[in-house]
Amino acid sequence: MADVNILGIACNWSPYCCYNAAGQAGLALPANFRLLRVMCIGRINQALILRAFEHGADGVIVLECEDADCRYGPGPEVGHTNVARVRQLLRYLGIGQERLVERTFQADQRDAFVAVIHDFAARIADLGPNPANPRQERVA
Amino acid sequence: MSRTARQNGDAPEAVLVVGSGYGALKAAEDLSHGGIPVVWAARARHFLELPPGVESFPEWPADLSFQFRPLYLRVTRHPLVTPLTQARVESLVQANGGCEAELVQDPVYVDYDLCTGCGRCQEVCPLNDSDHPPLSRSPAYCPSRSLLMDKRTTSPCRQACPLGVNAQAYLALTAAGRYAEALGVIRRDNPLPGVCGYICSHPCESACRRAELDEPLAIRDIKRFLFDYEAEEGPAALPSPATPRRGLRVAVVGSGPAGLAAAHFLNQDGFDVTIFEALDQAGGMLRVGINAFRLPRPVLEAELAALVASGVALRTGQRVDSAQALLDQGFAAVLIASGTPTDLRLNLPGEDLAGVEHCVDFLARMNLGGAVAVGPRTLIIGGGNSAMDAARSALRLGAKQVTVLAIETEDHLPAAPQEVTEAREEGVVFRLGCAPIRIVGQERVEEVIFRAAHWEFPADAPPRIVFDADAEESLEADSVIVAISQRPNLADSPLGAELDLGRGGRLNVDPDQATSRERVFGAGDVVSGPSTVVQAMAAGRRAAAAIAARLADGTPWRDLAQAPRGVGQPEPIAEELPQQPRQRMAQRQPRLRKRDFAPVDLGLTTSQALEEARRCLQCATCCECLACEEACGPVAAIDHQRVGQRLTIAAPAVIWAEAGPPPLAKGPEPANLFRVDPAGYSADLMDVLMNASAAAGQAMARAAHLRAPAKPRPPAPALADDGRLGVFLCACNGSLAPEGVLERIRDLAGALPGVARSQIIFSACNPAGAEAIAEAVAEQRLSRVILASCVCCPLNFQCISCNDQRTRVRLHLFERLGLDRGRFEMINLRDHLQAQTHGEEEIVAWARSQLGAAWLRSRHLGALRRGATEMGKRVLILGGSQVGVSAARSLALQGLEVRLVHRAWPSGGELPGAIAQRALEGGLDPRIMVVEAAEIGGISGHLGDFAVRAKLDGRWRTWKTDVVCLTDDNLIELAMYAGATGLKKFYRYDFSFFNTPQIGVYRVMPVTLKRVDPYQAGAALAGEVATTAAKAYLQDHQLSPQVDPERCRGCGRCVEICPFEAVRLEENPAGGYTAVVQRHNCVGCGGCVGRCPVTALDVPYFSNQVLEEMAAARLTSEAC
Repeated sequence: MADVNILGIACNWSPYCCYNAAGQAGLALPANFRLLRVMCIGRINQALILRAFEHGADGVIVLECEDADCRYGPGPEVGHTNVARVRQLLRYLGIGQERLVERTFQADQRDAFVAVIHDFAARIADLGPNPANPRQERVA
Repeated sequence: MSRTARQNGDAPEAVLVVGSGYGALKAAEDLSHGGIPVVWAARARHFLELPPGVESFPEWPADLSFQFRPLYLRVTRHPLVTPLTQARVESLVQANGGCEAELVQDPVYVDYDLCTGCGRCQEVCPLNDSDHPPLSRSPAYCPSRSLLMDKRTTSPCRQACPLGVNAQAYLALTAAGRYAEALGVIRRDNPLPGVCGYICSHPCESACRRAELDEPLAIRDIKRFLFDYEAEEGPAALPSPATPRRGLRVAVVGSGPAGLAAAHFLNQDGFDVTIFEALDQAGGMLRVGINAFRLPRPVLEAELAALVASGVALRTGQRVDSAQALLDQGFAAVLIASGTPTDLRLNLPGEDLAGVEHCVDFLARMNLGGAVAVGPRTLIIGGGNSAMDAARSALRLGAKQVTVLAIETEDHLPAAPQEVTEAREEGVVFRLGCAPIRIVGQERVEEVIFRAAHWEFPADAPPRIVFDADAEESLEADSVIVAISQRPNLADSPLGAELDLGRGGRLNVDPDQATSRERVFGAGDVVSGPSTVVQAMAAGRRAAAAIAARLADGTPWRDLAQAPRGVGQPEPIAEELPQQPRQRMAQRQPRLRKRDFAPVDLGLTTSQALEEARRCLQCATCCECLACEEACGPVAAIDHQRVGQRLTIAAPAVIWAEAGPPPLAKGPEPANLFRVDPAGYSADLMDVLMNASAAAGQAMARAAHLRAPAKPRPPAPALADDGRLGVFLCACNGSLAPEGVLERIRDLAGALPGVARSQIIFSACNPAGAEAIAEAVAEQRLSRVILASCVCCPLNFQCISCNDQRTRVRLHLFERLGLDRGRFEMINLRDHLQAQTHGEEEIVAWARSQLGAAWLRSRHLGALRRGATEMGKRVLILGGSQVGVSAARSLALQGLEVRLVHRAWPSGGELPGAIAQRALEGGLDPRIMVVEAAEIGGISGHLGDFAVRAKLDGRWRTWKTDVVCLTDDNLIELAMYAGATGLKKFYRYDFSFFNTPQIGVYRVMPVTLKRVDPYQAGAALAGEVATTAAKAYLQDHQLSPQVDPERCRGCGRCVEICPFEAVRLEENPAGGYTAVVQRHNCVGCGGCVGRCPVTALDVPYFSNQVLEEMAAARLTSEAC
């Protein structure tokens, strides 16, 4: 596998519940996967996602609850808006929109969660490193 | 109020909620959050267990149970809730305007408040891989990781053993190949496993339940195997005796099984014991009465040596003639265990002829190395084990023909069947059903004359011999050995003269084994007459307990006579379980073995022992080997000795959500019993919850006098901050990482900049572990703390992935020990280290990455919002519908200030005809302030401080209130802004039925009135209102954001996105608009922060900057 980084940004509710259950069950996630947890995916602004790429993320996966399950109401809606917008920007920036995806989960979908992360990791590995400049700075 | 002064004594007062499942959970939640103490009792093993037959609810997602976890944790860990699982209500009796409930809770062996869920107990449990493992975890959705232990009634083998030896446990350990531990289990109760492994009469096997299927377990043979297995490794060793010693000496007279057992247990308990043995060699009847081919001498010697090595002094060749003399020498107590060394005589003519011997005399001489000889034709009189010993010895001494003459028939011979069989195999002939009448001979015995006879057992007299025939028969014999039992020899000795003797010269003792003489005790055959080895040992142990209790305080070890523990019957024998005969020891052939005194049985092989031990049905499920108690270590959650509890609750109201009817006396159902019928579960989840909420509301009105006074707002902690950082690693009782790795992680953390202390805590969710953290924080004056455990955050609420252990850590640290949660950074290291599968370097690398991120977070920890809203007791109810009236009544009963407006309509709206014509229900509580009609201009303000403009009698006025309830449909527009569809979604998993987007304004939805009647709906509404109105203050959400007015350009996207009206636009001095967070309404989701296009909104505690730095740090692994 190529030397790539994957950042997951997870809502604290259903997706984190899956992540947590996967850990408790001893299910392995890709070694290059790191998780950033927030209270609700609505909490994430577009700047943060872009910053992740700026700092050298090769792929970012936004992990959300299903629309109907949001504990607060607007979370997934904000998430969809932000992800759609940043994906456009990534295309313009030449980083490529396929490096950013969003996925929704229910709280008991531990195994699906693990599978999705592995899938994404494999796709990013195929794509190779993020072509944006900051990566070179990081390596240097 | 006088209602609080109850008559019925000490019974705690609380609303009783009975049952598990969502309904009971919802009822307990409403009550406890309404300030009412609750005792929650469920038959189930955890509170989310649904009633039988209910598995899921249609129309709800499959992860519904997960969604209930926060509710579960809020309730089970609420200070007003006493949660009791595996508990049932025995009776409900109406008393003092309420119900008196008798509850019984089964023993809970794993303490729910202590268990870390580390699973070490499961790892060491020898039965963990069996069909019915004693330790288990709740289903995944149950948020407690605590282990559950299944322990049925003590297994029959253990109950049958006079010593209470835990056969089930040593069979389980043997089956697991853990032989040393198995032997250790035996030695807890039996210091002579070798002796008993060879010759015990094994009452355990007679009780074995496996006999129902095929044959009982070969328990004794396995014990022998264990002893032999150990003997191959080295000398036998008993457990180390207690230190320090008590400084008290005890003399034991006699070194038979009773004396040895008593000496051992007294020695274990710290007494200095000296055994006095009259003969030159110790062992009593074990040595003189039992032949070497049954009990090999090296076995006896090894056991005696172990006893001496453990500290018991053994003085052979010392006949004791006076107990008083021993007391005078300084012994604190004397135990007479001198057994029955004297043979009983037939008292028949010819008994003193040459060639007639008595069994113990004969065996003793033989076994102590004296000269013995028997004639070619030897006749044994008697049918017990001693007779078999004599008969088989006679063969080995050269007799050509050995006959046993016994009065009993084959089925009733006192000797063990195996002894009889083996004797017969060796050539012993039996003449049964005959009693001798004389022995004939000139100088030596020549023949024995006998008649057919049998025993008769009259109810009121000793057994007697009844002859069946007049005909006399005879057998020729060169030797006769009379083996018809023994008696004590005290009557013949000066020692006996000091003591009160009873029938047959036996020593008289009281139930505490005390003789007529102060500090002189008796035990074993000298008291009971001839018995078995294990019975004599049990008597010795009882005497030891009595002596210890007499000389020192308390009883030092478990009372053997205790009632069996555990609850419930064994698992039925599975139909699939194949029949399998028991393993038999290999035996030497009869013609070979009768030539010498070498052992007859060769012992089980290792594979036989394993095979045999695996046959055990493990009747009690948990075998009580206690391996788990040791593994639990400092967590100390497991206690096998726990007993169930019985408690009485004075309940002003009872909520019944259990399957099956409540245990009521005949007659009308009490008015204060509210049912949440599990039958309704199949219909709809919301029906269940709504019914539960209605029940809780009604119960709350009856229990309002139990509500504790609302507590004033606690002062905010001081915030001195000099950046001294502490790192604590929760070892989770050694399960976080392998030994050595944890220390590496600790040192890694200790090397991070600014870290003043890096420390391993055995368990953070254990009270003592949390205290250790608090001590270190105080001692090191730490102002920032990183706790690496399974806890994910220090905040004061629970998510759906939260669990009981994580909740407990925070309760201990922040509520009980008063530490500032704002200073803690918590990371869940435990669940993602993968200590089971990952190698050491991977574990350390992961820990480094996680600790680095935490370290970064701790540098930027922002403030948690700590605002609070003062709550008053004013409730305004708009709409005098049945719901409104019911709610008003309930709230007035609860002591709240209620203003009820019968007819209300919004300005510009019209009053519907139905309401205009409606009459207000009479008989309202005079404390309710009733307004007949008012036009409502609008509601402004927030929870705790609403201003409602109302026009009545032609004049506008403003009512101030803490809470508003809208109970007529024509008023809904007052709370619902345009486009507020999908309201259900906002509160989907809060299960609050009356909320509106405006927190503090309640409404009743039409669907609610389809689920319950208006009266119940009103009660439920009142209960819901009370959960906020009864509080003194409500804390702001800790993650509530702030607006930077310099950046905000007033675009309004945040207002648009917030469903709770927690962001509003206000005019600014520049003539534009600036967003302002309404902290009372904010739920802390951060949706507005994510929506803001100019990053003007931010959550101080977890700022955008921190998120970005964290993201960067996560991606540059070497940065941390």
